[in-house]
Amino acid sequence: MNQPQPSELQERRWSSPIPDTSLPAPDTSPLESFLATEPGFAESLIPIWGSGRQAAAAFSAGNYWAGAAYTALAISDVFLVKSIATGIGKGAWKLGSNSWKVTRGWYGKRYGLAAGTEAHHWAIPQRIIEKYGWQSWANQPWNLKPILAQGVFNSKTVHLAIHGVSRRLSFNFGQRLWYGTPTWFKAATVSGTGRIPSFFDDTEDIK
Amino acid sequence: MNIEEIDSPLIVFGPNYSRFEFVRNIEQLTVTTQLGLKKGVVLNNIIVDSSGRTCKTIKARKKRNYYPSWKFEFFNPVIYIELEVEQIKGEFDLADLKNRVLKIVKRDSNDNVGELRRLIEGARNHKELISAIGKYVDPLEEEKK
Repeated sequence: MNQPQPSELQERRWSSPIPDTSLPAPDTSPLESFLATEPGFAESLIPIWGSGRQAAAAFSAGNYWAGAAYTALAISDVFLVKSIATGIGKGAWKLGSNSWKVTRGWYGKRYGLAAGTEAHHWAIPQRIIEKYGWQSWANQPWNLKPILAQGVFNSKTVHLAIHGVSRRLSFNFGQRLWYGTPTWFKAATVSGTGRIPSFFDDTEDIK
Repeated sequence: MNIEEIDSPLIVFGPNYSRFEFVRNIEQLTVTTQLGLKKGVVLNNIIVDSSGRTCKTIKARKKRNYYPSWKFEFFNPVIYIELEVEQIKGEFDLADLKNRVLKIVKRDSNDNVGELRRLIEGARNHKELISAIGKYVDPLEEEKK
């Protein structure tokens, strides 16, 4: 008996108005095929969901390295979303007076900082803020990072080390970045960098 | 001078007295990072202890790592050091120390430092003065005492 050729099967599938039950059923469930499909560019930008779907698609295609990388991206997205949500919950913007004295008091209270905990201006230094009168938008939680004591070093010493002026502790560049930038910034950097390849992939598709 | 003779708590000034750091005990004074030792940030500092003694750090060498080897430390491990100090005579009477500390506190902090200023001005000896700074810089540790 003549077996239909694969191209003929494809032809019959597309042209037949009634489902042809004689043809072999696809061996993947809808969920499996959904997970195996790469998300579109816009969808891939959605934190956690986009990178999670990319991870699932990579694992389904047997690309375990890419799957692991997208999983790491999804984890960094969790940190990003959590720190942004926490920030919004505690107060993301200080209205009213933005002098450092008032802002520092408000920030310490809203963010529950222990007495003696220093607040570091991580993106725009305080002297620049004072010089250009940028208090209203730069003396804000987005530009502040609480500096916690590290081992035997109190918050003040760690803060001075981030600025490279402590006489007891010296940090390398990586440590200054790690201790001197907020979690959301670190997570956003990982998340954003990890999405660069998807951006180029999609650009090629459009071409 | 033997480092064991230094009375805690103490404060450490940089060579040009532009900043100070509060140190609760001698153990904390002998801890830094590998980079701190390499750059020599722990040298030529002025230590003022609770008895009013003043000394200068002149030599430092590594003793051992502070944390166990399996702890990740950004390639710059925290280490114990052996510090050599020499006593300085005729430096820092209480009034002079108060002035220097207040000058730095006022310059560095826009927080409400009124309470600290009152405590510093009212200190009757070096120990009271340094403890007042400790209450401000490291209040949680102060409460544990």
